[in-house]
Amino acid sequence: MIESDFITINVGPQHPSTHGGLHAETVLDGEHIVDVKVHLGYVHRSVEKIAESRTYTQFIPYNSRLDYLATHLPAMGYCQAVEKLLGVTVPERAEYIRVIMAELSRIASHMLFIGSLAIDIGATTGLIYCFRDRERIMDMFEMTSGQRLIASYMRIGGIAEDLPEEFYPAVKSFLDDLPYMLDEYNNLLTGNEILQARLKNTGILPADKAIAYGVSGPNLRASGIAYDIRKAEPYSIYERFDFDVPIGSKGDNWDRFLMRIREIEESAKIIRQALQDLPEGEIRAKVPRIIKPEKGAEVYHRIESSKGELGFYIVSDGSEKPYRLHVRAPSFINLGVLPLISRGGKLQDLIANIATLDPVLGEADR
Amino acid sequence: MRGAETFFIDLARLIVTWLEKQGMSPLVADIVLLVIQFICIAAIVTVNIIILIWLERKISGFIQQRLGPNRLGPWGIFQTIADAIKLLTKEDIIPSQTDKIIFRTAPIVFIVISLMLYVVIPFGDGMAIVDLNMGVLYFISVGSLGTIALLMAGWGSNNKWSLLGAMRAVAQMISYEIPLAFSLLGVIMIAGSLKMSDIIAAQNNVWFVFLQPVAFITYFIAATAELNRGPFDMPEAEQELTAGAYTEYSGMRWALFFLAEYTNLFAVSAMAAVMFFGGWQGPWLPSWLWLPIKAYIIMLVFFWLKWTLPRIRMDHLMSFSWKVLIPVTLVNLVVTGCVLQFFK
Amino acid sequence: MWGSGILKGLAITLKHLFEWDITEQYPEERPNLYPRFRGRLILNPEKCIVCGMCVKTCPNNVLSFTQARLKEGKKKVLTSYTIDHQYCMFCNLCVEACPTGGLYFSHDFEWAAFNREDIKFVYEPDLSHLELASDDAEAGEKGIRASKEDKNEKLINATIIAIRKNPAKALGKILNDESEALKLAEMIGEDENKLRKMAELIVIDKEKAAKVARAFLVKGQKKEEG
Ligand code: SF4
Ligand code: SF4
Repeated sequence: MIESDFITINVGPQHPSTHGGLHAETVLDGEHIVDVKVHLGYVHRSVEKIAESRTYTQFIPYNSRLDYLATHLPAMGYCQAVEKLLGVTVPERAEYIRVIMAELSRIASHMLFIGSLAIDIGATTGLIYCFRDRERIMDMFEMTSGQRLIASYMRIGGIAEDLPEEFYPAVKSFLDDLPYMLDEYNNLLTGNEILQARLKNTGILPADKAIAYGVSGPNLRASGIAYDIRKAEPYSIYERFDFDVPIGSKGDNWDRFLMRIREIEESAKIIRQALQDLPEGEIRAKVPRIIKPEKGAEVYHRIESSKGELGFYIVSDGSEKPYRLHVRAPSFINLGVLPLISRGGKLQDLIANIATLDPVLGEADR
Repeated sequence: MRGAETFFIDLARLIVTWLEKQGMSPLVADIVLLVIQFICIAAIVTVNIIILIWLERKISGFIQQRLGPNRLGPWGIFQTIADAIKLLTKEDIIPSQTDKIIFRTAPIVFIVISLMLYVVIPFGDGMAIVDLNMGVLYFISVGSLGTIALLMAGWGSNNKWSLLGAMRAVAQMISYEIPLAFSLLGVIMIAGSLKMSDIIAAQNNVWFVFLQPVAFITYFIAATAELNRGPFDMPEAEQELTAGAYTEYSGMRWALFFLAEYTNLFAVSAMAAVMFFGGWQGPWLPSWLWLPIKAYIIMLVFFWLKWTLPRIRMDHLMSFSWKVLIPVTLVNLVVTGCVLQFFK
Repeated sequence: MWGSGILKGLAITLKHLFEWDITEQYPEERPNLYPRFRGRLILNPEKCIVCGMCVKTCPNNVLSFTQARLKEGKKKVLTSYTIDHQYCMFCNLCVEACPTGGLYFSHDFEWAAFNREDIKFVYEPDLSHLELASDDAEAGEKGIRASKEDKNEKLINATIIAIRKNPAKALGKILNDESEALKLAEMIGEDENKLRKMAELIVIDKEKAAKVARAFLVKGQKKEEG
């Protein structure tokens, strides 16, 4: 009689496809996964604590370091939270530019998602094509803010600088080329039978479980729940735009993958409308140089980031620094379902599951 | 033209006669010639691999709209040589928990096995080192020995990733051995011989790829799996198993595995050229150029596939072999047999 | 049909195989940078008016400077300015805060160095031809942090004077009781050291000062009793 035993392997933190510093302690029965335990904290930089020793303005650049793949989204969320705390209204033009930047960030993040999923399941070339196209967004960020990856462009009360002249043709041509880019991804990846076989019916996350675990963003919508904070609780000026919230049916890896591709299209729609209606005017509201919210004032503000519900909870003690700042990081909460959806699958599914949950470890660990 | 065609054969004959003039018995002279031939093969293989690695990098670069290696020498052709030197001078690390003997012998076994494949490949007209009368059988059986080397590497490393990689390698190679052999059987049935030169001679009028297209496709797929190349690179699978069976290897030991994989790649492609594309037969050029040309074209397709497709899942891979490839090859065999019987 | 997707993918890669590369051959081809590109942070000492805004806004303590005053006209001049680039986040906050455009980002991005010290920028002008007010040069030792100590020093002196002049009011602030405050003042008396300590505590940490004062009083009472 042959005795067999489980083996425990550590997928990560030093592993090619754990997106930074994720550590999944995996118990395997051959190729089958018996259990997964997620360990976090390898990219912990105590951002929330840092916030307590920085003034409200000084903390802006640290935000993009949370979700460095969608640089403008966390910064926008934070600035809006502080504005809510102070009761500042942001000028129209700034709002529109913020939306354009946020949606460009979302596209960049989703493109990277497609690319990293491609490389995680072995299609190296897919990654390069996605990076090639994402590079154009990075160029636009460089035009506007001077930084490619971690652009500190949002400011409390508006944005740092107005859009430069060369931005408009760049974003126009990008939007015009976007359908062709998506066509290419679809032909290279989406239509590929091997990829479909690997993603369909793996890593299934049922809707009730998704809600129970607090999953948000595209991962939740892939399970069939049309919940998008841009629609459910519109912030900024999102209620003015006409866009759809794509939903999946099953909540498997395949749905989560499609969700990203379709959201890129929706984001492009929003950018087109925003560019059309872009008003002239101020880009920054009058905000005192030293920001001192009332003592004891607190605020929770959430936005739909590319990963899910990104919330900022700020408590003020009346000084120029926040008393406490908490980030509700969607990556962190979404990672909670990894054991649930991986159990019973194959080792190779685990890699696909991590990729389709799209965690950014900078945000999960903070 | 005639001189170019028989250049190597004449050279060999010259050496033998010269040796015999020196007072050696014909047997000794033959053995000396064999040694020389083997050294030549090793040299050719090494040079070939350097070119191959460079080519793959270049092709993958072009596919990804990059340039690939382009710094060392024109079009970066010296890049591989520089890498080889780097690997040679690297520190030789043997992790303390490994099974030392197995760990050390695995790469050697792997490269020796892949070099042994070259013994039967007819590089040109009458230019096989040994034209065995069961050459195809030899090729298949020696080829399947590579599994053992990978298993040794995986087990000897005493690393869970390596073990997983090795297990995958064994399962995969054994299941793909069967369709590989079956798809070659069709060709053998038509040619009526296991001898390479006979098979090539049988393709005088028409290449077997036109008579046995299904067999060619199944051979190609099974060979990709045998070679552990993408989309079937399970044993290595860097995104899942870090580097699979090779995880603990570094420096020259790792390079030996790498070399052996490319050696196998060329051997399998040459085999495909022999079995399906008329081997060294071709107009204008000397025969010893035709085989490499055909093999290289086949290898380009291997590269192309690898750099396009995602990796298949292990269980899909196995079921693909047992549920699709083997039945298809069997049906192909039956049909071939019936047609042969019918037209006899 | 199964396999058509794979063929489509193969067609895509085949198409790109014959396309020209899109990468930038970096050292030969230079990137074209946009005007706002943030490379190295540069100080233009001519424009700097030594206001300290940049140091105050920097989130990461990258910037620091020392200053001095001219003897005539009391104009502030920089005696040194340090940008410790290794901590810089290129966030642009300092540039935005500078009222005169004394700081700006250049397009220089090739500044890898072997030592952390090597990327530190230190500006030390030759001021030998200027006559500086000596005391300020000492007092303004370390930029803003130094000037903060400066401020404390002034406050402490003011508090000492206040305690001397009107002990009931000055000490009453921490004790909330004028009679007790008078007692305390009596106990401290003319002891310079004690006075100074008390004043320091009042300036830096009021609560602690109150505690110390109470302890003093209790101790004094015990002395009286025993
Ligand atoms: S760019 Fe930001 S981090 Fe760098 S010196 Fe200026 S304020 Fe400080
Ligand atoms: S903010 Fe500008 S002017 Fe003021 S100290 Fe800094 S560099 Fe000088």
